[in-house]
Amino acid sequence: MSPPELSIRLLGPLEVLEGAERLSLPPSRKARALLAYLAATRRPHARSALCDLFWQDVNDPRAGLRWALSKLRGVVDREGRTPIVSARDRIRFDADQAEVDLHRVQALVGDDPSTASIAALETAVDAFNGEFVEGLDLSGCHQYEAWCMGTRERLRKLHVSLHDVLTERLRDEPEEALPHALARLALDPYDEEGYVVAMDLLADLGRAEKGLELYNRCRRALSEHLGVSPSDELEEARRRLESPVRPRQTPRHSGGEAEAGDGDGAEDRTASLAQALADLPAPEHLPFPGPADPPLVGRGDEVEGLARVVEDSASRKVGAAILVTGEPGIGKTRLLRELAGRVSTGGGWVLSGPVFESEEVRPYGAWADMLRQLPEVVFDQETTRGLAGLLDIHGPGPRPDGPTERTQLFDLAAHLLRRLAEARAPGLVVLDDVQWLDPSSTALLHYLTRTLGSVPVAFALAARHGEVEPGSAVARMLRSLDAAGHLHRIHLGRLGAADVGALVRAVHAKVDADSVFAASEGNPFFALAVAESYQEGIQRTPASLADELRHRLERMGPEARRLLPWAAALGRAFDVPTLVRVVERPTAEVLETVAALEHRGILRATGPDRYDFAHDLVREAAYRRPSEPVRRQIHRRIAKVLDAVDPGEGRTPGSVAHHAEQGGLAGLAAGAYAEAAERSLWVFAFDEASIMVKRGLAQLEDLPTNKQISLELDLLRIYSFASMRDRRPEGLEARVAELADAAREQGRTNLVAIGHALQMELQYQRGAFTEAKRSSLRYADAGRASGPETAVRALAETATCLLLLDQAPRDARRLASEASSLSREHNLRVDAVALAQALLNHYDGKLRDASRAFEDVVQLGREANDRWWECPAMTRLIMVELDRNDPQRAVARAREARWLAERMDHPEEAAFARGLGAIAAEWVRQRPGQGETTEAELSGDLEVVDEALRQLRELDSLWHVAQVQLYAAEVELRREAMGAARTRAEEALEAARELGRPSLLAATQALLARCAALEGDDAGAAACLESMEITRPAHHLSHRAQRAVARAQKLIKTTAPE
Amino acid sequence: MANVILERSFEPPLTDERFSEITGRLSPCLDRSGIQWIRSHLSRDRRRLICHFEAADAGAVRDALRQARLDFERVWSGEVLEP
Repeated sequence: MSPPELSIRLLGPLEVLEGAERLSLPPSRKARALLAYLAATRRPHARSALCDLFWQDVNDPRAGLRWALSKLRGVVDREGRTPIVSARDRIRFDADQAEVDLHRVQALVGDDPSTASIAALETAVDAFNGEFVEGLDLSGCHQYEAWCMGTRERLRKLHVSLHDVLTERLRDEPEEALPHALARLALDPYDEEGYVVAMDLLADLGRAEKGLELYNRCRRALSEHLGVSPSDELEEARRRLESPVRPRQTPRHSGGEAEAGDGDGAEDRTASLAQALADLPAPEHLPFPGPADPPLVGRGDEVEGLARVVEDSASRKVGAAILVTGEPGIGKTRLLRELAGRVSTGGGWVLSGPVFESEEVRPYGAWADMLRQLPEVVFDQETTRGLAGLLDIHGPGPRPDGPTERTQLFDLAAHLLRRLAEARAPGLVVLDDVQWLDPSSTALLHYLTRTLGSVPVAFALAARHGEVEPGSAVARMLRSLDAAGHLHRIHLGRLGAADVGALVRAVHAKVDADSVFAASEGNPFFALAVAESYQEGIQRTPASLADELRHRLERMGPEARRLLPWAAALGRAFDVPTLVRVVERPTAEVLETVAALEHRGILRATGPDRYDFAHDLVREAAYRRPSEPVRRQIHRRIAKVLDAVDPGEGRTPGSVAHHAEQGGLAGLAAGAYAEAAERSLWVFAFDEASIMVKRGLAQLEDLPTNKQISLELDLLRIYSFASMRDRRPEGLEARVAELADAAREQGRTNLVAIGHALQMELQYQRGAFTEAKRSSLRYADAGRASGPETAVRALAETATCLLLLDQAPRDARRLASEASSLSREHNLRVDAVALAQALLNHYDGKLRDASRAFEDVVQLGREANDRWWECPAMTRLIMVELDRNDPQRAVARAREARWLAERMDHPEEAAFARGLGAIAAEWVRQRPGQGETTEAELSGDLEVVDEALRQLRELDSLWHVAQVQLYAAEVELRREAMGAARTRAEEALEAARELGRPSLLAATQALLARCAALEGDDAGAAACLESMEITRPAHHLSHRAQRAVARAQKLIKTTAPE
Repeated sequence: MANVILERSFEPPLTDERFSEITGRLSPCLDRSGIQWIRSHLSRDRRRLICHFEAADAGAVRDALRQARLDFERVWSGEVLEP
């Protein structure tokens, strides 16, 4: 019997189905990506190529590949079916043994969808369930990423064109065409033509209101994102909607509400979403009550009341908000857990994120944690992209693309909850301890409670009585919900003697419940703690709950007593690997102690390797046990450990800042606050950013002046973002000017440049745009005030200056992009803009774009007879070609640049071009197929290089010297002249240090590491790679430097002994 | 920091207006690049100018002059010798 048909879905999240059953895939992302790659490409791949694609970063790539193949075969192989075929050293996916949606679509529509039949087009369009292998990104595998991105873009275009062709073909049946027109807009929301088509279809259907809604959406998108007005065509389409034209055709179906995404595909998606919600586990920090929990006593009315509110919300399809208040330990969390359990058992879903003290260092922390619990299926393309910033707020890397203002982010969150509630109801969102909720999370919560009024989602909140700070964002939100009559309040009082008795007896039958009641005064958590002590034979009457908890902790073994303050300082929830790193004890020992604490009910496991204190009061007691100086040392150690976490592995600058501040590490705290504040801006958490800047500034007082200047500038630059305008302190500009002066006095060249860029940015913003809200408008106004070209030049030249100095690349990027938009808006062609863009592209490793932009600089200069940058642009082009591994072209570029520089009397650029040209020529000769390099040829070229260097040294141009030496050292390495390579790299390092250029320094250290590794000096190589220049660069390194570091790391891995 | 010298000739002789224009254009570029202008010497006939800067290297001064679009004959670095 042949096995059921295997099908692989790549057009959306990767899925493998056997008949109708979805097979579970290996958890390894690389293994899944490998399957997708093999299935999508179908052709045979050499094992070595697959290793390069996916396992470049491991010691034994072939073992990685073997392991992944064995896992995949375990999933797809059956008797009579082995789709992954190995033949000698090659692997391929046999497409005859499985149906792959991508290939089916290709077979249906070929390369040109316009020639396919409507039926084929409709089948093809239905196959798309999201973007190609949605979510299957491998950030460390650059080749795979490039392939994946290219395929995604190609398929996105195909998807758009399928809808385009269908819309066109079905034009006479507007009802049929409309879903395709709308779906096309969802894929390409800035395409005006798409809006015009959809609006016309709506006009034909007599749905002018919906059409105008689309028009407004388009106008808003154009204005906010592209800064342009609607085209005449769009305005005409609007007029057609407004004119009283009869519908061209009456809808054939009575429902007539065909919308994008309607149809079987949408129903399937809703069904799978409903299933995913039904399978949703309890939130990690808010487990549903189980048999091990003490019973809930004395709260019957409250539970019923809360359950009624949620049920009401579901049956009437309205939103609801509940606030439970009470003193610590009174049972607020227990009540919320009971409610959550009921909602889940009744078929609803529950989401919750933990709220911790000091939440302002992680804006949206509770929401981010909540969203991370959701399975991938609940996120559609729009929410994934839009909420990525929020989800990645604690993650590394540059700012992700996403919403450009806060309401868009909030809309996406509302859209997500609405979708969940449509798939399954009721929904319950739980936030405990809202007295600590950060302002941004509060704003989002407030927004959701207001906008989801007709959606069956209830929000259950709990707060410690009297601890919501008056005037805080939380207090304001609660007042507003109260005023609107939307908030159901429940206050939990103390339990009576009978209830305490029932509670205590259920846990410890033999304990004297009356004494427990007398000691605990009806606080259930206190009562349970006292009962526990009595059970252990300790008959003392505690003065307070805190006193009881303190004594309870004292009774722990010495290991537990030692470990607890560290865990408590890490926070309410912590993970074991971090704890192990912090306490510097063997993992086994820590695990044993943690297990003992869990057994004693002090800690609670919440996930793999993750623990939570059973109650925040327990954490507080554990935290307060050691003296203040000891606590400071604990925080100090934690700050250092968290600071050492690689950005790629989830470094959290907010936590580093918090612990460094508590530990008195002022410099570290200030720097981390600056970093965390900038991350907050990505998600529009402006209040938090402001708080962080203030906290950072408060750290600076006792620092040495030079450190103070640098950190203060770093913190103050947060205010230069337009969105922080209202939060700027008085005298900001004057302070920045003072800092720039102080930096000059100290001889801190780089800081002076940063200070001036910041000052200029602030001056621009102050000058002419107090009322303007968006940066594009702002600079346009500035341009009108002082002549647009002046503004464009000033912006671009400041960006250029920063890039030439390799300082503050983020600011340079911002300035260059603003110069570029303003020049486009005024239709200006300014060489300074092209230069800034060229330098930026080169910095980012976009070499083709860089080459084009440097050519533009040359061209624009010639056109305007303003040839200041012509020679430097020409010599940069040589570097770009060398970086593109195209020495042949570099030789040609060098010849041209040298000729020009000599004619224009630029000895520096002429020498530079001569040196780089000789390096390129030597490189060409070293290439295979170029014949043996004779010693004479070799020394000839290197003599030219050395002669060029001699001139550059004479001209005292350190940057040129460093660059020539870096490229020349590569040539030396290729001919295995390690000593010569090292000598060159050392001079480059010295020059880079003198200039203080972070990327140059890192690239040079990486080269020295390679020299050492090739000479067999592993320790020396490791020392270079661990140098501050590589591990702690002043800012995000240039692409070239990053590539150099990666190359060195790879070499060291391959040369290191097993 | 290096002591960097700029040499430049003027024909016709340098006027006060032209000097302040040069200063106006050069100062922001020097500031942005963290270069300190120490002093200048102008010959009596106002045809020769020598400026003394403190900068990371002579290349930085040349870059700043290029940004300010100001010509020069020579830019070199050296030692300061006191009598």
